[in-house]
Amino acid sequence: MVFDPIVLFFLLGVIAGIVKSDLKMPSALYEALSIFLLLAIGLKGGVELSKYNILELLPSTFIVILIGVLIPLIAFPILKFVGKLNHFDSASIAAHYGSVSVVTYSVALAALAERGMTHEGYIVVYLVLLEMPAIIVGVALARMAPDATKKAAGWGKLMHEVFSGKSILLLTGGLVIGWIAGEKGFAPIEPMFGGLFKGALALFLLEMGLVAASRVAAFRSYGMFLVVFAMVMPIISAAIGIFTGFMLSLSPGGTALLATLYASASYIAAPAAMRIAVPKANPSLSIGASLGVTFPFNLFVGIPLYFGAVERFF
Amino acid sequence: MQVKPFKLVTVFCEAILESLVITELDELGIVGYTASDCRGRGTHGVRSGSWRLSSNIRIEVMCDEEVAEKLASALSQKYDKDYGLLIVASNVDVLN
Repeated sequence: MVFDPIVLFFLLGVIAGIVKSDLKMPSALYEALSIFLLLAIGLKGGVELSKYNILELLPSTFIVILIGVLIPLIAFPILKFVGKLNHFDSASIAAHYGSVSVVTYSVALAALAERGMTHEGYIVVYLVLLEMPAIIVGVALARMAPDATKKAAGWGKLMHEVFSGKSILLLTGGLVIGWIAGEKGFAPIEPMFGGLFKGALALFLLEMGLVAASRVAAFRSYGMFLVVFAMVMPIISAAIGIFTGFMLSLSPGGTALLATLYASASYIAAPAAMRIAVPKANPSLSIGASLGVTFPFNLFVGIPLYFGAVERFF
Repeated sequence: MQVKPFKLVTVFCEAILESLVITELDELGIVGYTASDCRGRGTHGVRSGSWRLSSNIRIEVMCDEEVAEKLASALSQKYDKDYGLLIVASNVDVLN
């Protein structure tokens, strides 16, 4: 099996969307599943984190964040000068590709388990920390535009949107609770947040498939450049991730996970932040690329590719 | 019973604008509002409401004509160009 069977649920969702099935996930279920997944990832990461000395992790964490800042800075000139996209769209898309996707990370976690690979539990801290830097870089890039107006919402509003957003709140909250609870404290709630995780992820992917299908329909309007970009950029980012993992002496599993994190593109936190901070950027371009192309690309091609590369490399 | 004439201003906009519109209400001293989720179709295409970025909201406020005009001009000046936004007003009588 080259990819995990749960990604087939995504495919089922896409098919349901394409044939215009009456399948519709109640939005309350979608909300509940995303809350569950975020908490479960945070909790499990926190439990793992409790086995490490946090201070020792600081230097490597700093490097990981620095690379997170670098990725949008690589993407931006490609989008603007090669793709000839306007300044605002380039900045917004760059932010999406620098930020990370929790669901892609979850699928990579499942792929690790499938292969019996282990990883450093603190990688989840990177997941939490990598969401923001690229968004900040993207907004800063957008504000450098010669015709940028000061009318856009201020940094305060943007920071509130990002930090109070449920993804950061629940991931960080789960992380702290898991860290305090430790292995022993987590044991009683493990059946709920550990055992059910993969099943819940499968259901969530079904919904993601439905949403992605609605984006695929508008494919032609994106232009060939963006479609190619959405498949090449993750590979560039993953290569940087594999190199970083190697330099930080991460385990093969940890390196593959870090590569997947860099390769993933945000489609929840970044779009919301960019819509507020960079109103002139067209959201259907950035979400279409990240959710319509990069997300399925990572699921079906990217993750097996990055894992294969790591297995060969180490 | 005294019947008071008011303007009922209804703002239809992208869900992401909710807190920004409410800030505007605060600045104009509008105390009360009612917000509800909605979906539909307009010049920005279908807003399916299936997730936050394709969701719309409807914010209804009651105020006098002068405030209603200030609200409409403030909102359209700031957000009309880059976001999906529709502001309508009607005359209503508040009965209690």
